[in-house]
Amino acid sequence: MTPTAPPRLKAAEPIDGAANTEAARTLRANLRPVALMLPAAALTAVLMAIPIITTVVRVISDGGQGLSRLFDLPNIWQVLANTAAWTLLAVVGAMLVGYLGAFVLGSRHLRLIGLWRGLIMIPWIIPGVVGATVWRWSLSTDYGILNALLLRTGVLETPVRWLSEPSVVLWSVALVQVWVTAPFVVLMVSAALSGVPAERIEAARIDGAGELALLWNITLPAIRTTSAICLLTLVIWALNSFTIIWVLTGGGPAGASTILPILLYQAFQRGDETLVYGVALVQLLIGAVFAVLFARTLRTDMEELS
Amino acid sequence: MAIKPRTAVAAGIAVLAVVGIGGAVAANVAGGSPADENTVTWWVPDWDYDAATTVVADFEAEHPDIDVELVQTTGDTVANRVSVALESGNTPDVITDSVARVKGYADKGQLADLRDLYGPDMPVEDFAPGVVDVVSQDNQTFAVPYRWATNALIYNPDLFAAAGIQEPPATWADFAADAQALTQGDVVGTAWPMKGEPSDLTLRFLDFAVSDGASIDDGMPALTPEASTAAASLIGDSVTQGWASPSSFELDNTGIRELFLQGRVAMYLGGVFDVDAAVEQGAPIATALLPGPDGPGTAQGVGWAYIVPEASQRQEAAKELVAYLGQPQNMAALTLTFPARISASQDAKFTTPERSAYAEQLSQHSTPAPNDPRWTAVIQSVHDELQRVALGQTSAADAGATITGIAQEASSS
Repeated sequence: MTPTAPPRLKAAEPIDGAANTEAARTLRANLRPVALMLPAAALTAVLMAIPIITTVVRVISDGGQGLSRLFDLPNIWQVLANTAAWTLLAVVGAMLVGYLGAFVLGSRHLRLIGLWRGLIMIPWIIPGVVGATVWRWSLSTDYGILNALLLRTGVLETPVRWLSEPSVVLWSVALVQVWVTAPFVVLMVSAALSGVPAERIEAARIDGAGELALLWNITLPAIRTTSAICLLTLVIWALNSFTIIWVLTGGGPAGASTILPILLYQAFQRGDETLVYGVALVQLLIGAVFAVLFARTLRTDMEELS
Repeated sequence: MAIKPRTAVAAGIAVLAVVGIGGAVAANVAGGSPADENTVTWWVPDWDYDAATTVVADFEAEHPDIDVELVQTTGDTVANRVSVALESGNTPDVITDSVARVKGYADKGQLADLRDLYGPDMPVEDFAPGVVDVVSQDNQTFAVPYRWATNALIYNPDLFAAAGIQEPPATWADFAADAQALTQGDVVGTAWPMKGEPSDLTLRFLDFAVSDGASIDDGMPALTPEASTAAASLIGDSVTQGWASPSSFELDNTGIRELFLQGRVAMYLGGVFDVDAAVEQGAPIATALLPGPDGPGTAQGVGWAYIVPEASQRQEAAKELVAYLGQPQNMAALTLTFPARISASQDAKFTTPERSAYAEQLSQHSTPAPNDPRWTAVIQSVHDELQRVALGQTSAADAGATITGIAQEASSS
């Protein structure tokens, strides 16, 4: 008798089929978000890839002339120092103000929280040019409301040249950047604070921890990923910032508030394409470092959430 | 996979939007201008827009085969916008742009030759001296200038009278002495546009330098250390000595005009456009020639012109429009300062008492402003050097030497 085909094979078919169907379903389920994101991802890639590739190709095809001319500029080290100082002031200021705002908003003693939250968001949501123009009027040496107020209240005896004194101007423009970006930190930190388990804080209190110890040992470590994201976002915003400085000072006086994006725009205005691409490449490299750090931090955040 | 109706509608809208935007971009890139072959696109500045609408209506009536589409630009953005358009080859057909930028575009081969337009109907001799030369090179003419003017001295006669000053200053020494006498309380003698376009400040610097022996040769300033020092001193030291507003660092042309209208700046070097604004508001205003070292100073002529991009796909129709705009009556209609053609300047609006100083400055004490891209490339450096004098960071003599060196290096590059 010829042996029939092993029944296990016949029996195995529906099992494999079911497995295949299941595998296909899983694959489809996995691919679906990818497919949904693909158009946006492709568009973003094109919008980002084309300028980046163009910049690199242009600098190389010019024989690196853009970079050599950039570093031959008599004011390049001042511009780089300005960029570093501006970034530091703007980021540290926004972090401090943002944290303070978030803790105040989270206070049990605060009333009308919705109102305060709405008001705090105003600097972040109004157009940059509008905000910068208002500050330009407010900080005007002879006609600004800030000097008028400080002179009238006796805080100052002579007006401060907020926007035209080289030793003051970076502080002034950084102040406006802080005003614009701190609400973002408030928003992020407020959300993160609400996620800190109350029982953890309660347990620390029972163990005798004071408010400062609670902040340092419980709260800040619990929101460290959010803090890192805020920090990197602020750095990237500061490095790419243009509107505020351009509207307030145009990079002056005598280049005292000129940072890399301002230098780039000035070169663009003169039609100096070689220099434009040189500055853009340096800007790109600096920004890329922080963008990579940002992406890694974001991934850590996602992993912590999952 | 079933799709909910709401999702389907959203997806449909998204697809339509993407296709629509993509199609519009593609059509724009491919065509550069309206699809209609007979439609000429003209980029016109906002200050000319209303008058241009009327002139274009007349043009279209005379040329039924050509339609004109007007696109507004602004003084602040036109340079970047035109530069990007010409670089990309995606251009309109006619552009109103500054005369100072024409040479830079022509050097890159981005402009059509308009020499054929000059002739019996538009003789070169009918244009203000030197204006057509500024937009010509290698036997080609790349623009039709239509508006030409200089700065002159604008002053507040009421403030002068209150300070006991009878006449406007005719020399630099008078200018400094008067400004010092006028500086009291909320009023300051003068102010300089140190914010905004760097060329606003360097234009005034060059006015003074040219008045003191420097020259502009082939569109490039030929400076001397003495002239540069004198000019840098007049601007920079006036701030450190307090008879020019320390707020100059925060002021552009518009800001100075506003302070003048408020009676807080007693005099300044400004264009005739500012005079019209003051007259309209009924503000006290009078004008005089630019002061020089020993008498009338020399001011630089700056202006605006019509250009036709080489990449225009409707060059012939564009040239027809430019030829029409170059006729005296149309030039007068579109000019807020002074027309580039002498025969157009008979219009009553150019002969008001406040304009007489400008007319004299233009006809007797002016020279075309530099238009060489090598000078444009160093304007920011010159501007910053002048600011350093005003900040007291360097002396006028050192700045004068530095600026002269910058200009010489640019000339030899």
